[in-house]
Amino acid sequence: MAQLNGEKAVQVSGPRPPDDAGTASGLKKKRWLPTPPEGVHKSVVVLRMLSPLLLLGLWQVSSITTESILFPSATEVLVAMWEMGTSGDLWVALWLSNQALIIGATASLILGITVGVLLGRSRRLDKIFGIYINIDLATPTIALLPIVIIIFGLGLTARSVVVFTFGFAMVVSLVRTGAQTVDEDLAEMGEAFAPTRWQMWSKVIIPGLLPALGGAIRIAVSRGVVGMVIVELILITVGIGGVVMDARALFQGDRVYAGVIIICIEALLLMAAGRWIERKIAPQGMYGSK
Amino acid sequence: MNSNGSTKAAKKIEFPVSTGLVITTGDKQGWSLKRVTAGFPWLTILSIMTALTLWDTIGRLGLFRAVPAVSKVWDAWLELYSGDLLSVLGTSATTFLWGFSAALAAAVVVSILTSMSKSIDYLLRPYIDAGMSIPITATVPILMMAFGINDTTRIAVVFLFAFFTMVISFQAGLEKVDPRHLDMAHALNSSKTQILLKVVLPSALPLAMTGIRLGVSRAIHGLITAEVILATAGIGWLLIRASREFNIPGIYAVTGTIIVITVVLMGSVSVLERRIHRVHS
Repeated sequence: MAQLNGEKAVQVSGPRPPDDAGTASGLKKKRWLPTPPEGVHKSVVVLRMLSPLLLLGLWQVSSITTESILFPSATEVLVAMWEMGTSGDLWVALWLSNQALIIGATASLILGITVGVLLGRSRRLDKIFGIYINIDLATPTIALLPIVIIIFGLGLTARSVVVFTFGFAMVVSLVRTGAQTVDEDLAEMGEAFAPTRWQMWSKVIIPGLLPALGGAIRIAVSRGVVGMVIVELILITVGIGGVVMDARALFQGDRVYAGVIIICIEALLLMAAGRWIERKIAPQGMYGSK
Repeated sequence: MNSNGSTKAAKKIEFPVSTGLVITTGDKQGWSLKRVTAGFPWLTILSIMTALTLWDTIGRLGLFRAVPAVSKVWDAWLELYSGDLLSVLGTSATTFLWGFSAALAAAVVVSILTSMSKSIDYLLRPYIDAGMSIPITATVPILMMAFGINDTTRIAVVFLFAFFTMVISFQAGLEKVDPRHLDMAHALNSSKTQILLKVVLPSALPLAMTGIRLGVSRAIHGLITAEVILATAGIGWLLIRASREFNIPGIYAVTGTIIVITVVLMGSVSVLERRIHRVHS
């Protein structure tokens, strides 16, 4: 805050170069402080920027005062993360977990998009198979997990199938909606040019589907992370989830927190990447054209 | 509220969880068989029957160990029912109600606060966004350490699953106030509480109801997740117990119970939601 005021004071009192009128100082201000939305005082902006630090401080203090091994302090967790990172455990565990994520999410995307397009473009198919997707959407996927494990065992296959199960129904329903709502006006106009089936698909339907496909990628990945973690927390204790569960059994609070935070960071990064891809392939959004 | 006259024209009864079951009745009073059967999902029902038959045949032939015959699953369910199924479901229901109602209350309070003060909204936004984005499932081990392996943890998981979704929907609902209504209220010199109670809350109701439906769905997911991970009580524990005993028909019976309960619950909430949407549009 002091730094901020100092900066401002210098700017106001100092001799101003002629070309440094409005824009440059505006830019400089922005770099220090995001412009607050209307009706929000500057102090609130500063408070929001400081709030993560305040929370971390609160965590640190309360954990030191409680002195419990189950409630590690922020610094202990950081140290645990550092140790996991340098000893290599972390990367081995993450790689093990993410193999399932890569396989499962890819499969749920490929199959989910195919099924979604089919169900979206054919009312009859939707009547026959749509019901299973709807039931799957409504029920907690985790309830299907033991069945997956009975069928596929305890290996990478089972974990990949769990990741697949978590994303599949969501991807299908998103793409189905996308395929059903491909702009009818555009489709009609396309028909007027007497296109071949291939032209109709490549020029009208697939471009119309792009927003849904973008959303599908994001959903497959973000749901996939949940599936990846959940299976490791319950029945197959390997990978990063296994690290967390083992640490919990050994009352290593710091490693539990570290593992959970790493999972959350990975999820947030993947989500951000998914959003980025979504924006790249369809900046207009799912209902943007209307 | 004012469009009761127009709903008479054509009624469309859609079945819950968009099962594709749509029954259309005309503008005339009463039901005729023809009208009811017109939109009847014959194909869907045929598909379910076929799938069940196929499954049962595979089960009876004993082709795969993982696919038991339907009759065996039914027997397993009866066994569960005569055993501890009902008391376990009671435990689950209690956990669900505590977690969900706490999340509902908290979401109402937080969303009203953020709609009344832009500063609070600005302060809390990153945390609500973070809560929406991080996988709550991953935080269960931390909750287990913090609260122990007990009801508190399960309730906390249900709470976290439902809370953020509901806050976001409630906030969207509260933002949807018609500015003309607000102007009107201001012109009538209404107090802030009056505006909140008489203008803002009623107009937020439809989206809030959508939020509640999403919240119920998330809460069920949270409940099963917590029960399965903690594996000491509730229907999720039954699932884990059956799979540890390699009781394959039992797994199917529990999974089926979960599916039926979820579909029925979500269906009723959807019906309620649609009623409120209809009244308000």
